[in-house]
Amino acid sequence: MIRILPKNLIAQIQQKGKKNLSEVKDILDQNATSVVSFSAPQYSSLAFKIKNAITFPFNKEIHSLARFSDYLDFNIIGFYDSKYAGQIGRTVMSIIGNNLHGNDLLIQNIDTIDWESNFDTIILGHVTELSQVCGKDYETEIIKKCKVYNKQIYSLRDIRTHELIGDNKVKFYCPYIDQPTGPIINKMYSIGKPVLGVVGTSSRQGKFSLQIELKHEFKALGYNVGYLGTEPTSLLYGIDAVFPMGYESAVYTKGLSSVYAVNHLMGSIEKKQPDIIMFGSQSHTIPKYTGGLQHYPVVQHELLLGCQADAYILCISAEDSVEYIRRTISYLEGIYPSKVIALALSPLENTLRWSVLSHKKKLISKEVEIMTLEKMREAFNMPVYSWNDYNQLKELAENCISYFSD
Amino acid sequence: MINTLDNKVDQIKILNAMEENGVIYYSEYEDSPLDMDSMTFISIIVSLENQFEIDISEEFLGKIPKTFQEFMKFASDAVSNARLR
Repeated sequence: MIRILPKNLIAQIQQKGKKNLSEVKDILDQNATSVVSFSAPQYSSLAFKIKNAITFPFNKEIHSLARFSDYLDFNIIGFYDSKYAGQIGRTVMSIIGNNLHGNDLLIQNIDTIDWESNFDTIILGHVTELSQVCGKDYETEIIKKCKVYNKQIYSLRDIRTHELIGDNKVKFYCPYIDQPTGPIINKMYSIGKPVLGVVGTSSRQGKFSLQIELKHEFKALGYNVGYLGTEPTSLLYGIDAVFPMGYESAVYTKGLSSVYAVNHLMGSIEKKQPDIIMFGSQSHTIPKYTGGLQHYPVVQHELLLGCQADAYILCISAEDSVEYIRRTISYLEGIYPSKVIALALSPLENTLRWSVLSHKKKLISKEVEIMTLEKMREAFNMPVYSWNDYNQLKELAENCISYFSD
Repeated sequence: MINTLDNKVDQIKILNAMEENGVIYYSEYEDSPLDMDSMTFISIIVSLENQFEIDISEEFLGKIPKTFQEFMKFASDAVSNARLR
């Protein structure tokens, strides 16, 4: 609420001696020429506990959950997929590769779920495309079953308007940021904690995995990390807030409203008194091509404006040109007085064919890794890490801390 | 590889299932890598099931083909296998 006050009123109140907060508010209300209500951004919060979850389908977001399952405060007791993805009967490890953290469950057929078994939540990944090509409405089927068997749903897509959801008979969560319903206050949080952004030069670099690993390393070094995620799975990792701007985005704000929403989320994180606040962006940061609107990173720009990072880690890929990385660094360091303190080389090659649902993630060869690290260190005269190597990841985390300590 | 399929009608159905989903088969390129993403692959499998009125088993779908030649063998074996069950 904003009170529009006559000139000098505050000085007059001060001259009249000490007043408590309630008395001051009364005087302000009585003397205001007008009182304007403002609305805060509307966003989702996770209102239920998860103990034992199952997941469907077994795609990119779920791979990360499997990879970092020991960072979760609940158990994943089953991974399910459509038979058409060709993964039924395979072990989780055989699909996601180097599984340092997870278990080794088998992928099971979604049509064979025992709905009476002891899971309490289904983590429902992106199924829109899968449903279209299979001619089967997985989302509706799952919501129906969850209502019958009293299971909770954590959906990565915004399902609030689904016809079966409206009667409040199923507990569900889905991430969203809604447009404020009224005027927004023209004031921004000034974040007093160090803010570190993890951004990239393209999609599918493993940026989210890097963030999760960094969060873990910062914690191991004794730092309390506040974290704004952009993946719809963010809250499952105990991340403080989510701005779900990626695939099937549920960010309904645009332009200044988005900047306001991001800043508001950052402010809410700062109130928890972390030592450092980290956020991660999606995909690329500046246009690499200009031939299609998908190459214009407008939402990423809004995120960066709202977060006001002090420092960045820029994820790069082996196939990125020096010129493209240089342009990205200039942009990041230009919009605010920020610094790109390190480059993190993605362990993944960007020529993935089975990218949406499946498992063909190709690691770069050791030769390419070494060659790229040398080339980038020489070109940019800054630390360049291969974060797939645990020692280098640890060094990267320590480098971030020492940058903010200095 | 396509010429080894038993039934001309079956061959045409398989090619139709591919074409419906934007994949054109040329015999001279049968050793080339399959340039299709997972969704295209799934769409073709669903089309095969619909055209042949069969249910391809999940065990069969675990062997994802890498070239056109492998795909044609995969499709023909999948159809035969489903018919036997």
